[in-house]
Amino acid sequence: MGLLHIIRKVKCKEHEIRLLLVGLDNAGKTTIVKRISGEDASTVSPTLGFNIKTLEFGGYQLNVWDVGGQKTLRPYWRNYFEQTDGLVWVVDSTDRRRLADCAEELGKLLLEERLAGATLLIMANKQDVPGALSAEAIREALQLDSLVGRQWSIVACSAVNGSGLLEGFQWMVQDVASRIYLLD
Amino acid sequence: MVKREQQQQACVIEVLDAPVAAAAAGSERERVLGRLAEREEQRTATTARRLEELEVTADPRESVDAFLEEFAERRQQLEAALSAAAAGEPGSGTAELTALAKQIADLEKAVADATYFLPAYDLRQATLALAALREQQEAAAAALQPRKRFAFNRKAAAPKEPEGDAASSDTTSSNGALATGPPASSQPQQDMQLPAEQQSAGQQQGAAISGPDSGNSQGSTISGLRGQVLILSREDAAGKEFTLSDLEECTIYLLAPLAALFLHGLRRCRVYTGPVAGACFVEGASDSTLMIAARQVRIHSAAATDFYLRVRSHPIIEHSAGLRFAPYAPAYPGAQRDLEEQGLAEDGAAMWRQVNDFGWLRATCSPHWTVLPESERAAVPAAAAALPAA
Repeated sequence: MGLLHIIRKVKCKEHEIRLLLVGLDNAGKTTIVKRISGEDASTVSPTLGFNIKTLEFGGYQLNVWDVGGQKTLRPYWRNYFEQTDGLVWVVDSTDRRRLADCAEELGKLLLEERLAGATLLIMANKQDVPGALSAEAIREALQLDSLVGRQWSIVACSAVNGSGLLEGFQWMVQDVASRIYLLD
Repeated sequence: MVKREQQQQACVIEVLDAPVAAAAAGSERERVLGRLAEREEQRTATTARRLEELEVTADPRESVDAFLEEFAERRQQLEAALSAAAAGEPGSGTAELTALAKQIADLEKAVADATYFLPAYDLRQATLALAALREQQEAAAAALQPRKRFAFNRKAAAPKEPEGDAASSDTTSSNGALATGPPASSQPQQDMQLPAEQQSAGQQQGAAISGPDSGNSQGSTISGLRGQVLILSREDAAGKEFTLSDLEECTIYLLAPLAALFLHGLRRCRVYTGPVAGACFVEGASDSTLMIAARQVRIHSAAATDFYLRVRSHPIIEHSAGLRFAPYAPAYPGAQRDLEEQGLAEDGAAMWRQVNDFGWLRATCSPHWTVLPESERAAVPAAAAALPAA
């Protein structure tokens, strides 16, 4: 209890939240980060490695870790699990073919001990593309309703037109803050 | 110290006395003998006292003999208990075994505590005996409860929970949560293959593609064709998300701006597209020629394929080999205007040749791709150019 208390106090002072943004390649993770930080997203290359973005949001400092999702990079995700407060899983809603892959990778991630306490936000991205799967369909395909003992939410969003991003991050920050910054 | 000085003094006195004693009567002899006896008594008393003192100050726990004796006794007890437990019924005696394991641990600790005074040989013997005991205990435990090995609960329990949920929801509703494992992957695939089959049936007659009626009305899939030529003009394709999968020896023209493009499993195909607003995702292509303009291009598991690209970012390749890259050429009348609308009017930075290979994270050039020599670059076939401008 003592250590936990100290950690809480330190985090409280810093008002920092660490978010890990992962998902299959081509999901739009970097584009989301660029969009919320107001940068040009049209020249985003597939991420080779990772990007870190620090944002001010609702009085908190968000450290967003955006890690590349290519198959060759997925084994490295584990290096970013430590001290993650919130996990953002980005899904390409137009990619029906790899939805099973997506569910499998998410399943693996959620078994990670170091992510056990992290809040989970699923972003059903690319809703601007005609014919994209609805958030409801993705919720079913990822079997989110069978998740036990985890705070989670799913939001339909589009990094291109910006819809849904704000509410998603708002929910995430609120949930993490209510958990970590109990003392406020 | 004081005592020893006194004794020395006594000796000196005796020596000094000696001539006097010799001069005295023979009865003196008796006196000397008596004195000698007295001194002998004194000496034994002091050694006894010294020993006693030593015993008081010494730690009785540091006695090697006592320790070895006790160790042998406990070891025998444990061995007997272990063989008794091992002889029991499978599934029984778990509590006893745990208790025994604890006793072994205690004994280990005792030996560890004794290391500083035990002779090296005895210590080695004790350690060996302990290892044997430990092994015996583990063997007994494995025999009695083969599956119950130590494991973190979360990992073992987590897959079970959804299974239970899925099973229960299966009984209540047919389209409830998906089951884990193979069934999970089968359902989404079914969803996709259904429209695909519908389409390929339509394709055989050479008809232009139309989006499947059920499910996604905007996304289109072209799948399972062999040796066909397919031309989709602006009316058929504009603004849609396209999936081309499992095609062999086909030539596909998608001559309109697209929303997104997925290419899966193309063999000996030629694909010409208009500008893709989003990303183009290629997985599994061989001996093909692909001409693509897009915001992003990802190429996975491709081999011996030529790419004519115009990209706004670095194209990437992964698990691929033998790829060649060349710049994109507008594939149809009016293409330039579409390209401009997507911000792909020109490729000033020559992104098409700045390929990132995720399977080659070194400073040297990746061996998996090369730039296609200009002399070998193919022109867009006339079929596309002949198409009426939209």
